[in-house]
Order: sequence, then C-alpha cells, then structure tokens
Amino acid sequence: MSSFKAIALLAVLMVLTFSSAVVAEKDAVVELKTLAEIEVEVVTEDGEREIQRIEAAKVIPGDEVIYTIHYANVGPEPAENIVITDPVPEHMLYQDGSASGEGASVTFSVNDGKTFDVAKNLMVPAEDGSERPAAPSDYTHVKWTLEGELEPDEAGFVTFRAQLQ
Amino acid sequence: MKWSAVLGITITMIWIAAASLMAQSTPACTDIVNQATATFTIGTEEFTRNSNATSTLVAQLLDVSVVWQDVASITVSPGDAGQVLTFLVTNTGNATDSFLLEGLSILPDDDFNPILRDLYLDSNGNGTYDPGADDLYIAGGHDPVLDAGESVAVFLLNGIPPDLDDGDEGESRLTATSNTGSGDPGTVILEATECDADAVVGTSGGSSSDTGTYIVSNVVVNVVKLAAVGDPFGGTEPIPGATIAYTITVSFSGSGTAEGVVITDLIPANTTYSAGTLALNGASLTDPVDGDAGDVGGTTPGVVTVSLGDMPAGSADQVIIFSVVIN
Repeated sequence: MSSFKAIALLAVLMVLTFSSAVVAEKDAVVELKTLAEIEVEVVTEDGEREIQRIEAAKVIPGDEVIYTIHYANVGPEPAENIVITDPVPEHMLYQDGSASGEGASVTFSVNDGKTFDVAKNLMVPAEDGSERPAAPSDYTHVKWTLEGELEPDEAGFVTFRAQLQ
Repeated sequence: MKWSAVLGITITMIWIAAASLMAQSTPACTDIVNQATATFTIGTEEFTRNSNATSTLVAQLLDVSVVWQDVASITVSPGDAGQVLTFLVTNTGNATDSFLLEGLSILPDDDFNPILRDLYLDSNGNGTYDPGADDLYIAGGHDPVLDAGESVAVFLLNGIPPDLDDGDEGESRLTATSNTGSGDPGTVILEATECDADAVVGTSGGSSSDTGTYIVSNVVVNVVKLAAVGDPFGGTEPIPGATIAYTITVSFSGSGTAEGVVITDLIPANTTYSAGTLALNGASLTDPVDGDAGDVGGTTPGVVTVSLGDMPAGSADQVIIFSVVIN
C-alpha cells in the first residue's frame, strides 16, 4: 500500500518536472525586448550638432517616441512564422510610414487588433455612419510578419514611431 | 421606452467626453506603457512570447493662450471713466496651473494711452463684465487656477483721457504667465508635478499676450454764423432801422453722436429781435417757450435758444435764421 503511494507520488513529480522544463525551453526560444526612445539634438565635442536617441523616460505632448522591438532566437532550433504585434499606446498617434523591419511585411489594425490589413485596405466608420479610408491616426496596432526562418543566434528588429497627443 | 431614452443620453455623453479628450493633450503624469507580442512556430508547435513593458511618463507642458474677445475696437468718448476690454485666458498645457495676469496700457504705435485701472475675473462665467459681481483681480492674491484646457474671461478696465480726436486709437494689453514656469520653449523645471515628473515650457514660452483696442468716437459740431444787413432804403448800410438777418448753420462731422445739442445766440446790444422771424430749416418757430425747438428770451432773457437734440455725425446741416433791427 505504501509502496504504491510512493510510486504514484514519483510519477506526479516526474510529470511536473518534465512539463516545467519544456515550458522554460519553449519560452526562451525567441526573445523580445522593446525600447521606447526619443531623439534629441546634442552638440558634440567638435561643436557639431548630432541627433541622438535616449530612453523616453519623460515626454511632453507633441513628442515623437520611437518604439523598437528587438527579437533574437536564443534557442537551438530555427523559428518560423514569426509575427510581432505591438499596440499603438493610448494617447499616442501612429506616424504615417514609420513602421519598418528588415524582411518584414507590415499590416495594421484599426479595431483593437481584431483584424489586420495593409494600409490602403483599412476602413473606419465615418461620422455620418458610412465608412471612410482609415488615417494613420486611426491605427490601433502594428503587425510585422517576418519572412523565412530565424536561425539560432539570429536577431533583428522592427520599429515604428508614434506621437504623444 | 424608458430604457431606450436612458441609453440614448448615455451614448451622447460618452461621445462628447471622447470628443473633448481628442482635442486635449495627454494629461501630465500619465504613464505610457507599451508591450509587444510575438508568435512563432518551432517545428509544428506554436508559441507566444511577450516583450518587456516600456514605461514613459508624461511631463507637464506649460502653455497658455490669451485672446482678445471683442469683435471690433471698443468705441469710447474722451474722458470715459471705465471702458472694458474682454480677453480669454486658456490653459493650453496638460495639467492644472495658475497664471499671473498683468495689464499694460502704455504701448507704442497707438494714438493715446488708455489709463489702466483694474483687472476683473469673470467670476460668474458669463463672459460679460458685471460690476459688483465679478471679482477684482489682485496679482498673486488669487491668480486664476485653470485645469488643462480650461478658460476664464478677464476684463481690463481703462479710463479714457480727455482731449482726444475722432478716430484716435489706444491699445491695452493683457499678459498671462504660468506660475509654474516660463521662458524659452523647452526650459525644464525639475520635478514640478505632483508625480515628480518635470515641467517643460511649451511653444508659448509659458506666457501669452494679446492687445485690445479702443477707438475714440468724437463728433465735431461746427457752427457758422452769417449776417446780412438791409437798410430801409434798399441798401446794406447798418444804420438805425436797418435789419440784420442772421443765418446760423450747424454741421456734424466725425463719428458718434452729439447728444442734446443746444444752440444759443445772444441778441446783440443795441438791436431788437424782430418778432416771429425765428425759423429752423425753413420752418417757423414760435417765440415763446412751448412745444417747438426754439424760443427767444424765454429760456434765457436776451438769448435765442434752439434745441437740436441728439445729432449723429453726418446728419444734414441744421439752419437757424432770425432777424434783429438796429435801434
């Protein structure tokens, strides 16, 4: 009776250990890191003006924030069908033409991420109840669909800009 | 039925709230958070992975606008005690702020300097100066505190100097300055907000001015008197018994209205008024004080008096005639 209990307990422990190891490994395969930055003009030691990016810790209305999402495959296997989605934060307006990413096709959502399409196909309700073509300020989400595989140790980034209202 | 009515009201209110939010800048101390998500496949398995969340704090923007509200120059008369210019002061920043107000009436490029008296705040919020109801502004004492996007009307009271010409213009300026900070746009005031975020001077420099104008309306009354002598022999010699016919022409130029115009003329010594000769614009006026516009000796002994009343500039010339006989 007691030996049966011990075996059962061991089985449960084994399952738990196995599944947690799998979860950890799976999660670690493609890592994302988001940066929020603003551009500031600085004068270098040579007296030349230079645009530098600094962390967007504090902003004022009208400031443009550059969001950059760095991705990297830190696992042992290639990753495929990589799709990165980022909401345009509340109080911010997507800046026309600012979304890009090497080897990525960009689509947008105007309905809180429910559906995505290329810019020219997006429609939003107009005030008179009909539909009008969406403006960049209507975008709620940006989506980058990466082509091909991301090999182990391979990395890249996608980016867009948004202005604080 | 009741439900649908309630629902309709609710939707309208939400729409208004959304519309006003759209127009305003993001409030100070708002935390802007962003987090990206990736989906991908390894072999046949699908995975989802979130990024870190970035956090960006919205600093306070110090901006204000002052706009003169009167649709045209305020028409004044020389010597007026208190004439009002109306300005609207709006907090165009993104957080509650208080503003120092300053009036200035000695300005270049105008014809006269109004005499700055007082500033009043539109305490009852009706946009119109109400003596006794609106609060006298005391600099630093109760500077208006405005939420982001909020406005208050400010009244600038000026006296008008005497001895001004028709059409003269005088300017008076209102300046509102953020008490949190002002200066070159971009100037940072560290940790000025309740959340310890910085305040940044906006494009207005944290200060704004606008100038209102008074224009003098001064009607010019011009009086010309002609005398024509006719002697009893058909000549024009001023001998005893000769008649002098006087013609007084009154004209009105400039702008505005001359109110209660009264023309008086002393009957010359050694002459006698010829009864029944007084006329205005070709119509006879009786000599006694009665319903008509003129009298001889009744209002003032020995004086011809004609009341013309209110005469706007540009009115037709008023012609008064009467005759006297040389004693």
